[in-house]
Amino acid sequence: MKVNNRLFLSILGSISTIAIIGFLFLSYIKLDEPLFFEQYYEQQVTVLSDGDLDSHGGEFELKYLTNAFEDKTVIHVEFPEEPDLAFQASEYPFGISPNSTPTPEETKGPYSVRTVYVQPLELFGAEQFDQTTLTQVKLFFSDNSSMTVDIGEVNFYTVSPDQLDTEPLNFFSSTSTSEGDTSHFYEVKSEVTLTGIHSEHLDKYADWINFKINDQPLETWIGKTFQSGETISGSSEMVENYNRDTLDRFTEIKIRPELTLTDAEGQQHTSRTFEIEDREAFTFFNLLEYVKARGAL
Amino acid sequence: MSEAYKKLFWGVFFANIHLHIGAITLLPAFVGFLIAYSGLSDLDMKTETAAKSFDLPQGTLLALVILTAIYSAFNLFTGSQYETMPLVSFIPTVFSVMELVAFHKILEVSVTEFQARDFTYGVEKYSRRDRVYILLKGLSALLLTLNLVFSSLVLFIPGTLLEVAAIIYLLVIFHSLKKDTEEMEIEYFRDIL
Repeated sequence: MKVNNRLFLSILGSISTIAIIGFLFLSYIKLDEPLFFEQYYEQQVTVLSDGDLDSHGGEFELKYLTNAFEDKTVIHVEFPEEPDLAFQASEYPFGISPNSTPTPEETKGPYSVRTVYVQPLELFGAEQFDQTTLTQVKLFFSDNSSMTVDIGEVNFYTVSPDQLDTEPLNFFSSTSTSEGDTSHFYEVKSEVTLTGIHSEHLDKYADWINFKINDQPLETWIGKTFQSGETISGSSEMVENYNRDTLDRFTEIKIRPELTLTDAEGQQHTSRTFEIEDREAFTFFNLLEYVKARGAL
Repeated sequence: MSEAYKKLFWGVFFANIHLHIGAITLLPAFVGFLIAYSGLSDLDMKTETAAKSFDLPQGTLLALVILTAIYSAFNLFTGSQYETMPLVSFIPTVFSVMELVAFHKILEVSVTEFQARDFTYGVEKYSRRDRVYILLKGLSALLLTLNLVFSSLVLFIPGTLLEVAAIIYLLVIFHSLKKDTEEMEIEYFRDIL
């Protein structure tokens, strides 16, 4: 039994040592306050035929990192730059009762990534959203606390159903991969020439995301004509082994470049087509790296 | 003695196998530990080994009964997100260590009892089994404690498999102890007659 007792004591010692070190480590990496990820969105807001806002069309998400045991949730948001714009916010997708489902979140060890669903309220005309940019948000939590944080940039633009109907490109399918590559397929309704590309954020990410039309770089298509009935694909691919810094890897990107297309009669149409999304998959270790990079330890 | 080991067998079984109906757990862990505690008390009365040998396993099992009951109630009323609080997250490790202490000490007392009764075969057999149990339970507790910090499937999967192996192995040990002590008791009465 002496051998057994030696084995027992050494295992007990090892478990105790690991548990004490683990406890100290978890206490050290605990977050003092939520960390909001930066996000760069080009956000469409749909204007209904009567000029009102289609609130669902303008819905967007904010993501933040917090301690997994945190039970306070975001219940309201305000944007200090646009105090007249009204939004509702919830950590539950709109239309789902908060009592019926748990808070949607990704838990990775002691951290959890949570989503705040933000929806414009239909109190004001949709035109107020056109060309509006939000970079800061004031968050109100369920424990009556609040905080103001930088969120990157959310750029709104408005479209009307008429505009969507007369767009020269007709979307019919899309694919995406877990590596962040996406492809969207369109049918050209009538002959058009690509005469311009505009995006608030495209240049910023050109180094590590390849944007292509029919597998050729986007800019090479300027001046080229697409025939009626032709199928075109708009795709975004992550540049392999591109060394992004930690904060960039966790930046949420949702870009919808505006293509200017000129038809045979010389009339210009704009089309926000290919949605380009990127964000790194979360693991405990990369979240810890992010927390360190944010200086929150 | 065999009846005591039978209780210990069912105690270990119910401490680890749970049936859930919604948020309610039928036969929560503390019920299993209570059965095991009762089995250990029976063993205490029927052995020739000094009573103080039972103090540590009895105290540990009683603490497990109380603490697992409090922990079940805490989880029922607060939800599972508090399980990730630094202080609370290591409670499963504490329970694992307490189980290891209690059952290793019970096996140690059993071996001492076999020694007292000159049951050499039992001494060797259960010393070896105690060693294997310490290894299985100890390694699973080590891996699952590391997993509480790093949250990795590489730690969680082998840790869980070892934990299941340790439970099954302990059930096999108590079943075997029950049978061996039954035979020992039959032989004892045969000798008297």
